[in-house]
Amino acid sequence: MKKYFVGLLWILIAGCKEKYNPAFTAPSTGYLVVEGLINNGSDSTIIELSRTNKMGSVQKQYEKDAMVQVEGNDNSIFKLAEIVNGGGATGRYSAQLNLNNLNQYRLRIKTLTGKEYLSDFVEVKITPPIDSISWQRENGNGLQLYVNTHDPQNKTYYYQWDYQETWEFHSAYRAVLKFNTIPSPRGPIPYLAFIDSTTFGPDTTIFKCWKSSVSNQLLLGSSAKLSEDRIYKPFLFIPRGDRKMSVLYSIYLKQYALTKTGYGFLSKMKKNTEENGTVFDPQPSELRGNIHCISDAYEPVIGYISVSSIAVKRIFISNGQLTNWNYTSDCVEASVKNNRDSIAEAFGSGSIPTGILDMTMAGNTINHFGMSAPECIDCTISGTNIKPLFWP
Amino acid sequence: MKYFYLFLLSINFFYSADVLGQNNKHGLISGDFQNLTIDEFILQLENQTDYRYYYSNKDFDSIRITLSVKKQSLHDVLELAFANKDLYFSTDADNHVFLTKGKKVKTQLPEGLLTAIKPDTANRKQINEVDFVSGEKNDKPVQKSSLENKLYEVGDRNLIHNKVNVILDGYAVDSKTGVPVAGASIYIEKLKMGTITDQFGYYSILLPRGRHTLAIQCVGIKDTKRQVLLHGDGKMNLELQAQVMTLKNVTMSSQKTGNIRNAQMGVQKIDIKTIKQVPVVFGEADILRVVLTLPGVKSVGEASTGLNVRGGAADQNLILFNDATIYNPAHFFGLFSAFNPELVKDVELYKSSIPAKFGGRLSSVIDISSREGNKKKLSGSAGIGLLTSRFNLEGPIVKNKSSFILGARTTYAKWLLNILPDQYKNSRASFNDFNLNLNHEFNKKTTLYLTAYMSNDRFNLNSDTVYSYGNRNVSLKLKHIFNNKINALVTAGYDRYQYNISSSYNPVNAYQLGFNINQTYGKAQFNYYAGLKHKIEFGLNSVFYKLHPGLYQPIGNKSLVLPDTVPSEQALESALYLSDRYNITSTLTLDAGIRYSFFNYLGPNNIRTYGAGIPRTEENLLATVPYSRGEFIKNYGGPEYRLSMRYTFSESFSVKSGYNTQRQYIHSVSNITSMAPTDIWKLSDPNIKPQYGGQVSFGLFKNFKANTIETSVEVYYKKIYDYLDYKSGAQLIMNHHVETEVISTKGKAYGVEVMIKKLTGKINGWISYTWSRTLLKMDDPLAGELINNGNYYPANYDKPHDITLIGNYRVNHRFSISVNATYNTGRPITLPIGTFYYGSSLRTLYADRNAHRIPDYFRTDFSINLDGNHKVKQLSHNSWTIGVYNLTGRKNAYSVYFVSEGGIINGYKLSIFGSAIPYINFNIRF
Repeated sequence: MKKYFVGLLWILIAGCKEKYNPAFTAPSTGYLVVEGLINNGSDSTIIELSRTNKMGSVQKQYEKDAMVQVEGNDNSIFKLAEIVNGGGATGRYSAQLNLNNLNQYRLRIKTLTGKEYLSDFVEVKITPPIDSISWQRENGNGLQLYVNTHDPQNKTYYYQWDYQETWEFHSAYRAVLKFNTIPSPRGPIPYLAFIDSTTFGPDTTIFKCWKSSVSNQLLLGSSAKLSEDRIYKPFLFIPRGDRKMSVLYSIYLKQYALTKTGYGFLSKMKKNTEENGTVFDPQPSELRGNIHCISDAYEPVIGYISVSSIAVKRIFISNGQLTNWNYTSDCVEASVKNNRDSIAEAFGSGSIPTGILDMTMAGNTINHFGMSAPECIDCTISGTNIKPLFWP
Repeated sequence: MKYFYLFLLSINFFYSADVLGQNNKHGLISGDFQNLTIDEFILQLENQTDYRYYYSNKDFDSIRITLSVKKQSLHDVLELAFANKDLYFSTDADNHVFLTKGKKVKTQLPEGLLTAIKPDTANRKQINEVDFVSGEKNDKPVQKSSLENKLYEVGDRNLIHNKVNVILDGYAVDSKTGVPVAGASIYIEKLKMGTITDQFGYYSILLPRGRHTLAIQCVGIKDTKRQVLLHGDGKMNLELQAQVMTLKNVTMSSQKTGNIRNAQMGVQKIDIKTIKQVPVVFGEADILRVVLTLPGVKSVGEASTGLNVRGGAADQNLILFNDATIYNPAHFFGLFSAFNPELVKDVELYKSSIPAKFGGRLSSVIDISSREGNKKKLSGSAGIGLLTSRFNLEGPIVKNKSSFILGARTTYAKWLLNILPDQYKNSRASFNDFNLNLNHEFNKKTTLYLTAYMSNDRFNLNSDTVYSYGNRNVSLKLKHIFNNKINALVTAGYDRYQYNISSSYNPVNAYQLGFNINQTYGKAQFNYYAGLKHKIEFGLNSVFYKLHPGLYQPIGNKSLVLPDTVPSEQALESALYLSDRYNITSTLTLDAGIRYSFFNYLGPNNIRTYGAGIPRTEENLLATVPYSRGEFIKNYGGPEYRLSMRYTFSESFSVKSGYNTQRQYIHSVSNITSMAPTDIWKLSDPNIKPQYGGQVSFGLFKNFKANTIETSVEVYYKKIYDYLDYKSGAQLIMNHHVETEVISTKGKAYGVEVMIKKLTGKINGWISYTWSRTLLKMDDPLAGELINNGNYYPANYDKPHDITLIGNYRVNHRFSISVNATYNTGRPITLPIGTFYYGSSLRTLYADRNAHRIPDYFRTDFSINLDGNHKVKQLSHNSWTIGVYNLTGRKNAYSVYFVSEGGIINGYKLSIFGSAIPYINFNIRF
């Protein structure tokens, strides 16, 4: 009966949500998407051009070979060059700009097909530094990260952030043995050998790895309704026991100052794409930024150009700072009998040997070997073993 | 005994009795008799047998016989036809059959009497010539009429005057509880004239002198008749019996022709008994959910009690509870309506012919009346359901003079929420509502009514943000009858709606936001019964609004939230109206009304002015003009026409048409699809024009099977001007210049509504089908942006096809089964037209508002109602309701949406009730 009531209320509160992909026809759009900001700080300005795509398509359509330039209302012009890598043009345009904070700037884009796009003139915003990134344990003892910032001049009010997380993690098991086969007329003969036959030590290259990820949710904040320009905003929650915190964790937070309309554009995008699904949803709305097609005023252009500097902050959090984080890997070490058939069966199908589990009392015969799943031994499967430059 | 004697005299037959004839040697009877009058029934019998029948027409004129027999003897047929009824039959040796009421005729008389009673033709006096009561003077107590066959005399018969027409008035009351019976139809068949009791049970009708038969009928009341002999003006109170049970084979019904006769169109009245039969979610009898089953009424989805009537927005309905305006009629963020079913008497929906006394909203009036307390004895009821328990108590204060009724309802969902899974631990929801009605009759002419209502809601859903809202209403109404031609109603009251949102999780941003609407109103209405052909209503209404559109404040000393107050708004809305129901001929009736409404937006306030001919945006702000207290900032006003006409072709067929215009000066501004508790309301001001709308409608009304089946077809076409829509991504809360976020929109709505209704018999209910469209258009160049390039687009609640079936099958007096089924086209939604990458995530791109639809909606509900025994004299009466909501468990979509999660787009379908939901409810009356 109790269960029934729970079910009842579950329905009531959470409703009933299920994955659903309606079949409907959408027109092919291919509108220009402009992402990036004109950087008045010491970093490079990077503008990325892409195209909207059909529903269901996940391939990012870069807009390559365009002409991109920043123009000041003092008639200054700064050309951006397309970043070229091994694969050729990237659709990303970059330059180091030297801007005057008292001027206003705009972006002009001319695509390969000859269409020309122009943004409105935008004032230069100076991003105040990030005061701190703080964290505390809450909500089931997970880790909640907060950004603290303020503008003593009370001029910023509208903020955007993005971040890159990096964490070090270790394999659940170290491997001292490796699996191999010797060819023979009767088929390959499986055997196990020490990885390092001199030290009999483990393979250190696959034990310690790093992994990174970037924010994929828009992080926006405003102090417009506060008595001072101060932000204290929770921006990331890591549930207790997450592998990110198993050894050492670092977050690199970037902060951008926005204009009021730029903030409005991004919060509209956030509402449209991240915050729907409640009973009291606002209707999704058309998204128009400050970039327009010169030849066709009705052609939608996605993006909002801001001129601002970037403030950054990096912090580290080690597992030792967290009590009862309780990270456990899902890995288990199974034992394999030391005979040819068992070895062939266990390691021929993808598992990796770890080491010797037990030997006879005399120490001359191995009874069992250890084995586990590859991702429990080889950390490079999910990360990289190249230590990041900023890592201590 | 005296009656029996008189009765015998009235029957037109001769005694020549001998032996009681029981054996049927005259053939067997077969047939399927549906709603036959006694004459029709006897004709059938006469055709099949050799008997001759004797009966008093008057005793049987209200009888309808429904019976199906196959080769049965006359004796059996009559037994069946008269079973459970105070009707008897006797046969004699000469093949005479005597049908009587009340007593059985003895056809075998004692030997000696045979010659003693000789038929005397002179004494065969008709009952209608017998005087039962003498005329009474006005200072005597008003006579109460409770018997069908008694002839009541009204007026002084000895007074000689030349008046042809006299006025009969009085109250219709429930004979058991003394509670007035409102909306009872009193109809004089021969004259094709009638009236309807008002909300106090009062009626007044001008009739020619002489004898009349009043056919009285009302939902929940046993159909009845009164014989009246009018000598002059006079009063007669009608004591009516509540309908307690239905008969097995004999159905009594007088002419149920209200739908045919009324000049008004698009009016639906449902009484609480019908409402309680309809299965609803969790078994909470829900008035608005039942209103939703009527043709022409829609909502955006299951989580919303916002009604869309004939293409109108949810804020275009005037929801009146007694006289109080209810701004948010929903509990539990829209799942339940906020009216305690135990106190509601009935609900009336006006969707086309809105009487001139109502105004201020564009699309409909939902007039909910509550019961009056029992004036004779203390009684009460209590109920327990899955989510709420309710209690009410009623009784006399001064017996037969004044009474009270008190109702309370509260949820105990808190404990249910406590056992939710961890991630829902922080959810809380609770609501309650209270009603108190008092009435006191000072004398026969003056009655005072006090109505008070309060509702409270509080919830937070998995977040630290707490929402609370509530209604507060109180009104005082005085009814005075000057004379039998004119009476008056004077009402004064105060309504308030408030909500509050607070969040204190983040100490820096901890805030609370408050909003409230207050209105103080006064109404005076006069009803004038001018002669045989006119019933005139006139009066004035005045409402003073005071809105506090937003008060934003910090919580705690760490909070940096800057206190902010959107300045209060005040306005006065007044209206004068006059309407006349004019019976031009006995077949043609015109209901014509005019209402002149005016609206004054009052200071103090600061009014922003914008450049003429350019979009209203913050950049185009010209100046801010201060106005002082009480200053008239802006006046709006205009006439509203209310016309409807009815032409009766026959007793069971009429044609009606109507034309209506409305003005609305207060608007709910919301960019949320459904009606949310946190929607803000905005008064018209110099920058926001009042909404204006008009509707033409036409309908055919036809009754079948002795008026037990009502059918109707109505078509309408409606235009709406200056409806407020919002700009893409509008910020509406705590906005000091809402006019920059809204755009005025035009709308058009049209449709056909077909309804078949059967409200009597073992199987009753209705089927309605609506085809309708609601289209909006935003082509105002001043708005700065066009929605869908200025073309017509479907409104959120545009659901073209809508079929509803409400059915009830009464197995016996204590056991009934109810079923309802609903199908409608899915509502329009805006789906993405493409995708793009931004902020390291694939995202959706939107355009073309409401170009797609969610999947169609289908739901079936089922319930069983079990009543305890019907013995009148017992301590308490119990009843159970057991049911299943959404029997098929269909996961009806409430919305379909796409959300970017972890860098990719996922599509979801959200259902409010995604499975069959069983419920049980227990009620006790004492």
